[in-house]
Amino acid sequence: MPEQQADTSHGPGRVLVLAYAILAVGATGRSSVQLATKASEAPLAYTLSAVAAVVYIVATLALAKDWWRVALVTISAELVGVLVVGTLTVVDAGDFPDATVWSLYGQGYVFLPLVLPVLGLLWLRRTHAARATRA
Amino acid sequence: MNGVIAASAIGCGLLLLLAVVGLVRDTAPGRAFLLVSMATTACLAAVLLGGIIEVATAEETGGAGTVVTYLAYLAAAAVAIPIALLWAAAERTRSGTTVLLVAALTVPFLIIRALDVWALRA
Repeated sequence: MPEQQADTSHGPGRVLVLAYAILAVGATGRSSVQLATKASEAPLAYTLSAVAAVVYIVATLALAKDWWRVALVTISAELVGVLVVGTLTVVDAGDFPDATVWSLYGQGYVFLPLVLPVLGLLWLRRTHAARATRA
Repeated sequence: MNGVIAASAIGCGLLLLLAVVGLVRDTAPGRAFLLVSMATTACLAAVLLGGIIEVATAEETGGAGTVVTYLAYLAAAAVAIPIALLWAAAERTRSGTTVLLVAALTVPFLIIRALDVWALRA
């Protein structure tokens, strides 16, 4: 039986870090341009995109640096964010005249924003178990 | 511009193929992967250069937001594969190969996004 990974940046965690980094770059670029050029058109949507960008940056760093608790908090916040914003945009798009990263559960990003936190939390559970065994 | 975009797409397709073969055989990326990565990155750098020239010579740019987004997508595509190679180098396992596969899948999305942004600038 292969040894269980305890470090969040190794094994499958390496792929997760890259996926989070891609979303971090995408969300940061999108929100910066939106806020810099047309902030008044959809302030809530653009602010949420900026919040998502910060969450992705912190999650990327936390997974890469093996900050387990920080990763747990940010990835959980990300899951709540994508579920709440995704549901709001499906039920009533009035507050979101322009799309955020989390609109329609991340449809604009091939639903990665919905899938990644689930995979991230599963990975954190696995690394937590490995840490407990090691300790 | 279309020629180097097509060459980049072929390069990404080859990288995907090599990554899938590596995953199935459970082998780390070898010389072929490195050579195709270098060629594809060179093509993507040419695409970025073409984009810069296009922006500099276009009559209608769509404003600063469009220009920044367009060039940022092209720049991200140009650096994606080298960064993935560096990130995967420390993990010569299936996970490392999957990192390269994800990068090869991401680049076409970035190019398509860039082309969409530029096409809708008016």
